[in-house]
Amino acid sequence: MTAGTIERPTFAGTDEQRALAEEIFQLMAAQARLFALEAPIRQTLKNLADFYARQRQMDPAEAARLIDEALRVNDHVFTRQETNGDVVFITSRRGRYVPPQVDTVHTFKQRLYEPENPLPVDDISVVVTTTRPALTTVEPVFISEYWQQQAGLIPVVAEPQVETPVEPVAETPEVAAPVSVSEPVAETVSAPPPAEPTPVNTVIVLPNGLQIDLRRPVEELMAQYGNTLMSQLRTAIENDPLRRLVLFGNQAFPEAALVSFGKNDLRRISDYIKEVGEPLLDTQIIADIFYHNPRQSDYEVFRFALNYRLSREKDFEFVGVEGARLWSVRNLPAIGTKRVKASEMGQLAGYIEEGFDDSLAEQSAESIRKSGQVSHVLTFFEWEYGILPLTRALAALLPPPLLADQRSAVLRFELPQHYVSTLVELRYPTGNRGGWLQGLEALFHDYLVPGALITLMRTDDPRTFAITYEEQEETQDRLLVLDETKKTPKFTFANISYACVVDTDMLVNQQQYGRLRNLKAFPMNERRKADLMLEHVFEVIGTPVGTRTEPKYAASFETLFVALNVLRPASREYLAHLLSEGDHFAPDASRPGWWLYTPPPSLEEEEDEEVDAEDFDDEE
Amino acid sequence: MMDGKNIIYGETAMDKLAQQVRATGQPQDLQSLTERYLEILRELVLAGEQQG
Repeated sequence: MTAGTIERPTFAGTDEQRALAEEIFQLMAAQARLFALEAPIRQTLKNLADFYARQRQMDPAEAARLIDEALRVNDHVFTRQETNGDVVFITSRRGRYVPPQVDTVHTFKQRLYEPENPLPVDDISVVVTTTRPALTTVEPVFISEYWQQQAGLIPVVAEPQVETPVEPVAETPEVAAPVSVSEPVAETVSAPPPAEPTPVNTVIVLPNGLQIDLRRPVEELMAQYGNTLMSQLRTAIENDPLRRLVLFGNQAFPEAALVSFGKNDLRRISDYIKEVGEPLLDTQIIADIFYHNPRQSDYEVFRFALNYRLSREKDFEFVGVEGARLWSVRNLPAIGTKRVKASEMGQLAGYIEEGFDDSLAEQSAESIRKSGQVSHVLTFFEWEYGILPLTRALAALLPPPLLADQRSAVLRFELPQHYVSTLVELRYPTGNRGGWLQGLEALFHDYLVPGALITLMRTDDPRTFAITYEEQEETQDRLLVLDETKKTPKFTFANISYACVVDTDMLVNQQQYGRLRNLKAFPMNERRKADLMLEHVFEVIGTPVGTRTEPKYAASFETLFVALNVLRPASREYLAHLLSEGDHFAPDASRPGWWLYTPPPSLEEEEDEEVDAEDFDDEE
Repeated sequence: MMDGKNIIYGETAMDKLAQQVRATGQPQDLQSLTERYLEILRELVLAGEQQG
């Protein structure tokens, strides 16, 4: 058969019926002349009867009867269907109607994800096409659960039983017939037990092994396991290779919906921060560089995108806190003294992380959080270098890090009594290294002295804190200072006026602590050896109670505390630990609160003694 | 629809969670995100119970 010719159907029945059926076939084929050869052509009996009756001037009912009979005889050409009482005849231009069959045996989806007999997978990389990336970034590739199970990345989950729909099969009555043999069998078949609802397991197991029943209301679950659920979800989001959701601080948003920032944008931000010379708030960057208005509906998403993007850039460092997201860049002027390196200070404050922190002896962390203020007596080291060790009391007042890997935060400290303020860097503790605040040098030197009683307090701004002190009449005294004008720094006493209330025991003046001028200004890297520093301090400040050959020194605990805090920060608890653990220290039994130090005999001393003896001999 | 033992916390239905967060048009804090996620998982499991 050529493309132009169509096979004609043959018709059955009487001559009239054949003629009628052929006429109707031609009529329907003409109506559907633009249809495909196999496409069904439908026509109702009523329409056909009306047409036929009008043409032949006869009763439509009679016409319907004749047509129905003629087409029934030719059922190989016309398929008869009854729908809602209407009789419909279906044929096609080819002269037969074949119901369409949808082949669902092989779908692309099934072949891609659920192959019945998959090839063995030795290496997951053979499943994932890896192309050489233009950039050296590894893009996440979605791997279906099936292949992950095959590679052993996730546990194999048993496939739930899926009920396949039973197709109407012609053999059904034949199957039913031979069943009726005996009564008991018939009973079991005819009266199946009522279908009970299958109990579904509503308990899920978290990666840490915690079991949670999802039948319980969400509020209850959050109240009981809130922290665990949140931390587990955070971990899952952070480890998601597809980055469906990304986090910044405590917030999450889909990465795909975030605005992207180009290199040019990042350079502009960096230049702007350098131009201002101090860390800037995200809101300020958005307003001044991107001219984005907080009233715009996408402002918060834009803000999140900026923070998230900057957090992934090496050149930017987050130095903000909750409520004030500050960004810094490399090469900004350092905040605070350069005389103490960060690595040295971390070691000097390490005693706090070792557990020798007694800052909460007088104020509980709860009361500090509630009142928003903490009192502190300045030591010489703190005053000299403008550094405050991050004790637990201070940590209760100051904001915690917002990001997990956050190194520091930049805060502003005000002295409301003098309308001055300064930037302060809060360095968070890492491992066994303690944290501290630095940058208070100018404030301390201008208005306070060692021994001053200060109060640090929160303000309404999450990154701004205030330092206050009680004022008194101006007093002049000879106080200890570190003279660094010469090549070798040296402790000395100088006239200093102050107008703040001080703890007189902690005031390092010449009258009380005159011997401290002999203290050696050790380099910072040596001051971390607290035991050696204490021995030196003891020799300088202690009262000699031994002999020339067997020297021994006595000093009160409080004096040692003040003196040791000239060289390095130390808590009372840490000092007590050093004294009790040191081999050469012993409590003075005759005076409670006093300690004795017996220096170990050293080679130098022995040599000196020999020299002395020779001198003595010469004199004789 | 789903048995509890087939649910991997932090993996199952994360797409749906991301869609919901995106639909809000605002970054969500971790607590509300967790609550939203529990609701999604709960619907999955309890739908399965109803079907069962």
